[in-house]
Amino acid sequence: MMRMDLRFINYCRHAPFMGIVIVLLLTGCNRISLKDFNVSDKKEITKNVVLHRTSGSDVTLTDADGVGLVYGNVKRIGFEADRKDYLLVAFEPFSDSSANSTLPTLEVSRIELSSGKAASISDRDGSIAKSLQTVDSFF
Amino acid sequence: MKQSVHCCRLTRMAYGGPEEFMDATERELMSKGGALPTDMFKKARAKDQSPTNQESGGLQDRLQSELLDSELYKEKWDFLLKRLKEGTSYKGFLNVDFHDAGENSLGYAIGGGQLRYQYKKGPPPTLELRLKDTYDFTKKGHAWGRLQDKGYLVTYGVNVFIEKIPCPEAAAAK
Repeated sequence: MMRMDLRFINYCRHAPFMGIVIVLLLTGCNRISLKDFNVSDKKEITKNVVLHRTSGSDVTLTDADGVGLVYGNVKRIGFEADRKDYLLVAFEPFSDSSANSTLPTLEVSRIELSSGKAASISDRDGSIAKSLQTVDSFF
Repeated sequence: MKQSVHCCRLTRMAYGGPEEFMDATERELMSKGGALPTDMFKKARAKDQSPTNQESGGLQDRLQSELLDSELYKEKWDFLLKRLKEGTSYKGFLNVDFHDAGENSLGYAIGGGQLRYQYKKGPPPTLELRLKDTYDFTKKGHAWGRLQDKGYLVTYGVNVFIEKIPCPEAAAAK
C-alpha cells in the first residue's frame, strides 16, 4: 500500500511536465515543413546545357553557370533530326510588362550543344514545335 | 546607390472557363486525355488586381528584405557584373536556387526562380533586376496557401530596380 502511494505521488509530481512535453510534440507535428513547397529540379542535357524546373509551371534552359540560353519558359524540346549536337527548343518568351497580356505564342531556337549558342528559327505554322517532346518528359 | 523595390504580386481569381487560358501545348495534352495542366487555374486567376502588402499579412515585405539581405543575391549581383564585363547580352536571366536559404525563410519555400536583368547603357548606366516565377501553395497551412485558397495567386515577382549607379564594370561591356 505504501509503495502504491509513493508511485501516485511520483506520478503527480511529473504530470505537469508530461503535459508540457505532449503539447510541444503536438505543436511540432503541426509545424509546416517549407521544403515541401515548390521543389526545384534540374536535368543536364550536356555539361553546358541544363534544364531547370523552378516551379510547377516554369522550366528554363541555362548554361553551367545558370545563365539563360533562351529568354522564356521552355515548353517543348528535342534533338534536331538525326543530329545529336543540336537541340531544338520551343519556349514562351517572358513577358516583362506588369500587365497580363494575351496568350504568348511559342518561339523556336536551335542550340549548339558544344558552345551553348542559340539561334532563332522561324516556325510560323508551328510544325517544328509540335514535332518536339513536351518538357515534362525530361523530368 | 538608390534602390527602389516593388515586391511580390498576388493576383485574384476571375475567370470564365479554363480553356480560355490554355496554350497550344496544354490544349494538346488535354485532347490526348491527359491530366489538366496544373498551372491552368493559376493563369485563370492572374487576370485581376493584386492585393496590398497588408492583405498578404506583410509577407511581401518579409520576402523582399530576406532576398535583398541574402548572400545569394549578392553573389548573383557580382556574377552578373562580371558577365556583363565579359560581353554577355544586355537582357537575360540567371537561374536562382534558394536551397541554401534558412529553413524558415520564404525563399526556402519558393525553391528557385529566374533573376531577370536588363542593363541600359544610359547615361547613366543602369541595371534592372527582377525575380519572378509562379508557384503553387496548395498545401494547407502555409500563409501563402491560405491566400491562394481565397483566390489569390502567388506570382512571386520581386522587382528590384537599381537606378543611377556608376556600374563601372558593366559600363566596360560592349
